[in-house]
Amino acid sequence: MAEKAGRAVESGAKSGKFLTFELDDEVYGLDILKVKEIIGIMDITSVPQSPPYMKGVLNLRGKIIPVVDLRLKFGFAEREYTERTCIIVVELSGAEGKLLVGIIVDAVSEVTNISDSDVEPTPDFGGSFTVDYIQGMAKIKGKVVILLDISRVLSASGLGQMVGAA
Amino acid sequence: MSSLKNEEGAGLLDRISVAILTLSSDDMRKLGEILSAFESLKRLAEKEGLGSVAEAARAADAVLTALLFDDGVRARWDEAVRIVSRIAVFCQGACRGEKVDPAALSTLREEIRQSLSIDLGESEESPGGAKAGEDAGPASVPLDQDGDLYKDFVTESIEHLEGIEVKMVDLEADPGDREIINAVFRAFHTIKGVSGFLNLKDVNELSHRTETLLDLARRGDLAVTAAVIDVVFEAIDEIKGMVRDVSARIASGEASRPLKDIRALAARIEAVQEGSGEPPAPSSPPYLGDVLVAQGKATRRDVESAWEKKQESADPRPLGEILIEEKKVSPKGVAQALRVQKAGGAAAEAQDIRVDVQKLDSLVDIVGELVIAQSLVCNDPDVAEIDSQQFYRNISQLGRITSELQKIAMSMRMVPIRNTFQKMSRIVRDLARKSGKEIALALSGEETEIDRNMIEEIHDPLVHMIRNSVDHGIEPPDARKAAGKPECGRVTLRAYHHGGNVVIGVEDDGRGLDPAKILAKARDRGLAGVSSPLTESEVFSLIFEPGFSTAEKITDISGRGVGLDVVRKNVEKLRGTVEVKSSQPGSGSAFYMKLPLTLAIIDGIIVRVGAQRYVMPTNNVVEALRPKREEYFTVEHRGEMIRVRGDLLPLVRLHGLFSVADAVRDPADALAVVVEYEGRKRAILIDELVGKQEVVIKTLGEGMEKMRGISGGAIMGDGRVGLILDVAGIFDLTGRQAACV
Repeated sequence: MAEKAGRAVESGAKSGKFLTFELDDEVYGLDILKVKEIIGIMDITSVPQSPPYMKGVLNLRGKIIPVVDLRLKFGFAEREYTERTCIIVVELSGAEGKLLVGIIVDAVSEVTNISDSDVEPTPDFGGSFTVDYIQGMAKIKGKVVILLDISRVLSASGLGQMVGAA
Repeated sequence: MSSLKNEEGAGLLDRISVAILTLSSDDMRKLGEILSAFESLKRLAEKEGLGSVAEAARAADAVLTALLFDDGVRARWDEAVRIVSRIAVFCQGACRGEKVDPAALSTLREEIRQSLSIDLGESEESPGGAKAGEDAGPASVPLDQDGDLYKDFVTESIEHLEGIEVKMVDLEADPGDREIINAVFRAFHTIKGVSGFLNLKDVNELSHRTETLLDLARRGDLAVTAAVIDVVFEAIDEIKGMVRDVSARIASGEASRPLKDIRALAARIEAVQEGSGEPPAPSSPPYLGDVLVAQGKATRRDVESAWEKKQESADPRPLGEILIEEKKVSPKGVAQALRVQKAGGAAAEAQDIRVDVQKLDSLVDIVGELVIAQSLVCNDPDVAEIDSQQFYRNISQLGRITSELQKIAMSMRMVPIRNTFQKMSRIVRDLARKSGKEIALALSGEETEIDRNMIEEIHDPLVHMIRNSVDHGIEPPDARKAAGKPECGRVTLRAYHHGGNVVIGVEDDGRGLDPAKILAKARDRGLAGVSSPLTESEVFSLIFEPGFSTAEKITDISGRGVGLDVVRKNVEKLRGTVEVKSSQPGSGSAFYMKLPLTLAIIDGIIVRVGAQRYVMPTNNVVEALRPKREEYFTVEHRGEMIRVRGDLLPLVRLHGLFSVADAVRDPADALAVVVEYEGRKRAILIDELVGKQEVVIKTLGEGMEKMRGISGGAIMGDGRVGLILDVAGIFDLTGRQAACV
């Protein structure tokens, strides 16, 4: 049941509660149902032979979870972590059940309601810029929020490829 | 919904339950009370149209009446009372408005008919389904309705079947043992009932047929011959296959499952059933008198005279009471004997509950965190400034409690090795059959506890070792006879704790190992040098080399080129060792696996490289040393070697492999840790040794777990994650690099 609900969110319905966060001056949104918790930046153990955006692993109350720096993942310049830097722990469904992954973002903004009418389909940027992990663009208070399908961000080109690279 | 849920119904059932609980053996007055309560219940249920409760009450009625008036049934007092109490539980559930499980009721009815031989007359639907599959060819069964029910069925049935297997092996040793037949019968019966309820017609049909066969054996109408046992084993395998099929199909989300054709096997069962009709052996639950005599509490004469008296005067009291009255036996003695009589039926049931492994794992995780948090608090510099005796007492109390908690949490993962051992008895039996040898398997130390995950991992190596013992160790009967040994070979499975490890041994009294033969063979295969003298244990360890096999002929069982090297590899994967002992040719051999208690904890050496810390598994580490400058060599300025006591070892720079910045680069300023894996050694360059610690191994999570050179992570004392080095992976990595150069 839970899985079905998850799929529905991914494929069709774009409305609902979204957690918005910042990367540089861009605002992104993330389906709140996927968010497990938000923690401040903490000690991360880097894992050898992994791509630069894989910052490593951290201890989340006894569980070891991988951490992805979304800035690096999206090709932004690396930036020092500040006290505004947050790790959003998201829950994905992996091959062996639930999978927790931490994503590092510049700052978490708010939880906001986004309705279908606010969302526009992702424009075609052309060229090699693939945007299949963007669910759509929402306009809220004059700002554009890029709605991410976080499981695609992390799985399609993310963790899977990382194994290959190693 | 109905007034049966009101106080009257509940009161009735409460009265029944209490009466059953306090019912002592042969208390006819109380029996009468229960009977009248059930009658009221029946009337109430009929009035309200609660058919299942009424029917259940009718069944209870029949059993109770029989208990009152039928001596044959009274001989099975315990069983009858057990059934009645189950009926009461069923009624309670139904009256509380729980969903009624029709199979439960029919199972009860069936049991009443089968084990108490009470005919319930107006039985509407029997779950037996003898007709269900008779002409039905393969069809399919929907699986998608109630996944959880099926899943439970799968786990339960596999458990039952495994239990049955063990019991059947026992039964073969003692074909007259009614208790075993009863136990097997009950297990099949349960499978039959549930599979009928779940509409798994093939499972139901086959278990029904097997049950019928066993019922004949149980009543003594059928002698338990080898043919009977074989066909039961066949049925077990078949049902197992079906159950696995069900589980596989559920796992892959298939909506239905084609039925299996069991007609051939059913015919075989029937043939066995009709094939023999030998005289009945003594009847099932042991007579109280026999038990008393066996326990030395009464003489046979006392018992017999009491029995005669009972027969003559048609004394309705049970034998025990008469004996007590005559002061032949103390009441305590009778009570003890009754307990023995009772205990026969129910095989020792472990007091345990099922817990989701994930829950257990997260408990262990959280306790680990608690330990870390506790040590962080205790070592906090601000805390250190507190000057209070009381405070330190409390802190140390906290420390004791947390470490105790951790110990308990870890021990919850431990299970006795018994099940694995018992599975082996089936394997030994089959192997002995196949190879035409007579073999008795003895088990020792089944209660030895070992990590749950480990249990699954040791299965294959253990089977391999047993096969080896049966096939290569134990001689054929005539050869044994010629050697002056009993024809029946003996294989002993042994488990015990030894210095923080579990040792599992497979010992046989077969032909043993011949060092000369092994050495010749090894030299022949180029596994050992011609000149170098080897100690006996070195010679024996040669049999674990890949490509070594001394069996002269290839058999169905072993000797197909998969040698003991696989065992060693598997055991080493579990961070264990394997060794073989054989004192002299002809007097048997013994294989021992020495394994860590758990896979979850690793004894590690913590090393620092730059700012990173890594955990090296202690069992791979040979030594650590600071290389002298004159013992460091390079090959073409690339391949690096150091000399350790005459051996030249390739040097692996961990900082290079894992691209760690700011590590010590000059080998003479760093430390080299000599590690060994599969007989190969390398020196790994690190900055310093930090300490030795037992750490809990955790995966790095999906996607990260296939990282080469890293086998997992561990949470260190400060709450950070330390990576555990995978020595085998590092060997692979460096081997590849060397090849590239």
